[in-house]
Amino acid sequence: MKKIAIDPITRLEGHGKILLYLDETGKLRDAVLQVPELRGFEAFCRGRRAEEMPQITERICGVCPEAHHLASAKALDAAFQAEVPKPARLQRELFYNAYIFSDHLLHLVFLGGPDLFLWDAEKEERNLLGILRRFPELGRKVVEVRAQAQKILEIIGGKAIHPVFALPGGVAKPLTEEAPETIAAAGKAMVELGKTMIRVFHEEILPRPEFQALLLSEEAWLPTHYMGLVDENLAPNFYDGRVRVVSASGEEIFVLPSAEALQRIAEHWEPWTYVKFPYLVDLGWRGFEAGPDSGIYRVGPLARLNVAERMATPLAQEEYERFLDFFGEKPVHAAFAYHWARLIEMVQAAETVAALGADPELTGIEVRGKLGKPGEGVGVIEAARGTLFHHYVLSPEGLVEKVNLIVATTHNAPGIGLSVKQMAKAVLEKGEPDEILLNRVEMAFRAYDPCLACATHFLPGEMPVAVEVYDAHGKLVRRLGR
Amino acid sequence: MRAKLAVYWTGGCGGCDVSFLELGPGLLDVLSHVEIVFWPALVDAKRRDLERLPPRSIDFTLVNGVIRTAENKEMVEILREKSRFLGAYGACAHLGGIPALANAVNGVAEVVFGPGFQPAPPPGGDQEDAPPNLLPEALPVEEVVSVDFVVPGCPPPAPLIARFFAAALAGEIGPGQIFAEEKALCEECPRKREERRITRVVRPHEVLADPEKCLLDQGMVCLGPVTRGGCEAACPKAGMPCTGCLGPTPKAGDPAMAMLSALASLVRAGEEGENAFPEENRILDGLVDPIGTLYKYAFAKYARPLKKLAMHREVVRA
Repeated sequence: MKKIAIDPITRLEGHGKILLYLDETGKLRDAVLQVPELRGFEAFCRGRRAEEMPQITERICGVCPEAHHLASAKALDAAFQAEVPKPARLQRELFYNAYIFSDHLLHLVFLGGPDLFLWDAEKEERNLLGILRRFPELGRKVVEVRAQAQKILEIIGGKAIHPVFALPGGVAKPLTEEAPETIAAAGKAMVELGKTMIRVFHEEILPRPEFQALLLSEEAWLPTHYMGLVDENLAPNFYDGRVRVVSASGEEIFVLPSAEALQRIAEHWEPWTYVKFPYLVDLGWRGFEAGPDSGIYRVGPLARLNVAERMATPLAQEEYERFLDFFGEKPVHAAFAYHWARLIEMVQAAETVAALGADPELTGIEVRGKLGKPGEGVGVIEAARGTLFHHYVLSPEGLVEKVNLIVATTHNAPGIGLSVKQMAKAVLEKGEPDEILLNRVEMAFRAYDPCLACATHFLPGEMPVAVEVYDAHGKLVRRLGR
Repeated sequence: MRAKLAVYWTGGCGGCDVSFLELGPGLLDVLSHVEIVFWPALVDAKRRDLERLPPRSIDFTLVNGVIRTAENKEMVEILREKSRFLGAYGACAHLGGIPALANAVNGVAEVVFGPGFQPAPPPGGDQEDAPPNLLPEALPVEEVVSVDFVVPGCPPPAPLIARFFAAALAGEIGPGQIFAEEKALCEECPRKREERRITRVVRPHEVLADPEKCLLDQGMVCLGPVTRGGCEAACPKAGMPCTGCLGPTPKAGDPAMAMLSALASLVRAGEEGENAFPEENRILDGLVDPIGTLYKYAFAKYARPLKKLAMHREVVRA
């Protein structure tokens, strides 16, 4: 038996390696994406001050600290039974959309982007620097506008990476009178860049036959269920809403508030990786298989567009319609459609920033709701990579007693594993793979923009579940209780 | 010739990797002066490519993240061998950071691996394919390899990153240099300090902070007096207390001890009488979770020797 290890996998957030096991004839026998990292947040958050949680949990991930910061604040709002006053909510929501824009842009251009713009380039060229060399004007513009979006994060959050502003019931302080002007200028530049990116996508990427082939390829087609937050019009909302799950055939499985939705998810375990595998309780865990009977679902940009019926803003809606026309059916199951969905969402986020920035109540001074006694709370938010749950139980002194987190990349772990395996199988059928072909396997995970730092915050022993060990035929050979 | 640069993360969050982008357009200048030989977040060089490099062929390596697994340790040892200068970048590499708060949890390894749990290879794989074991404790980089310089912060603020690159590209890194101020953060904080006296400990969510007054004067535990400057007091400006991510000033040393001593002298300063001690104790009881508050980033570096001492005492007693 032969083994190919891709170590470490690159252009993502976090540690990972891909192991391909081949049989005697060089065909794929098994492929796994292993996450060799964990830090243990759920254990050491115990005993911490509740109000510190937005700042502690954001250290799970420095790429999406804003998501953890606000999911945490929302869990605390619920745990303290606090109503967030409008100016504070506006601050949070505007901040959050600026983050979605910035994070999606980072991936579209610098992390996943090289796969789209330079995918057959040699590895020395296939990166941020290659993009800057081949598309200097666009590259420079992206760096400039991203800096403007980051400025919004800094103005509202105090710091762009690892912000400090959210507290239970609201935010630390009112915005200054000068803030809206900077925000408006940034919002305008963000919308303009969104338009440019759509144009570049339709001119440089989508028309290429090899990209279309990949987009519609069987190896990147994965029918699963989907999860995402929607507003009252069933448009995606990143900051708030109800959790909607639709099946692989597009029917609604449920639409529920965060705390109830959390109860419909359970987690499966394997001893060869430090990441968990969630599934829908209603359908159960049936192993690493996609399809209508499996409990495996996916989250993130593509999932949000699949659970939604429309986008919330006009330019995003236009592009969403082009997206649906291209595929001709919904849900769209193509893994590489994640990139396109990311672009559509980036535009919605930019338009939302521009709209919220013009709200006169943004600078209102009422920024903190009244707090009740500390108790239990669930907060949910759409991180750039998908649905993120924070669930806390607080002591009467307002210290943390229990923490449970289900993060975006964890929801996607089963789907990512399946996509990597399908792609590896297809690549190996072409014979001995070279470095460029092996990158195709990496492209399969990169489409999800996975954040393995997020996915490995936990301690295995913290979860009251059994570990099941399977042999090569998927037969259960060992079961370890706690 | 362009300077060869490597960036690697161990047990971290990725915020340090992203922090370079905060240089904005300045990043483009930096990139034109360096050649990136290894940086998994950004380029496709693999571990094998790194292992093939001759010793000391990388000019500057920046390690971010805490040393959490056996694999982290191995990678940092390889990087040390391949590098002329190796720096700790960010609070985790420098002090242990937030993930090292796990060191305060008793018997983490037992909790993690529990009776019967062992990381295992995928079905049909070799033993070497199993995920790496956790080390018994999360460690700052200096506990594993020698560190030539530090760019501190969680993550390092853009002006300090710029300061590092300017020095590195000019070949002017001093031995053990820490790229932050030696003076306390209070020196760069615009808030007004007047009372120098605390009558109760206030938690940030309990009040709406006065926008002008010193946060310590308002009763918040702000680590400004014991923390290095260099971030332009970002958190206090945002209405939140400093939590010490740039690490303690040389004068402060252990940040928790220094801050406790500062708090003790501020509590009811100037008041005497027979009730003074019980009353001061009552106020200081408001300091809940002292470890998470005072050692938020520095538990691995500063509490580790204390823990060893405590263990030693127990052994002596036994």
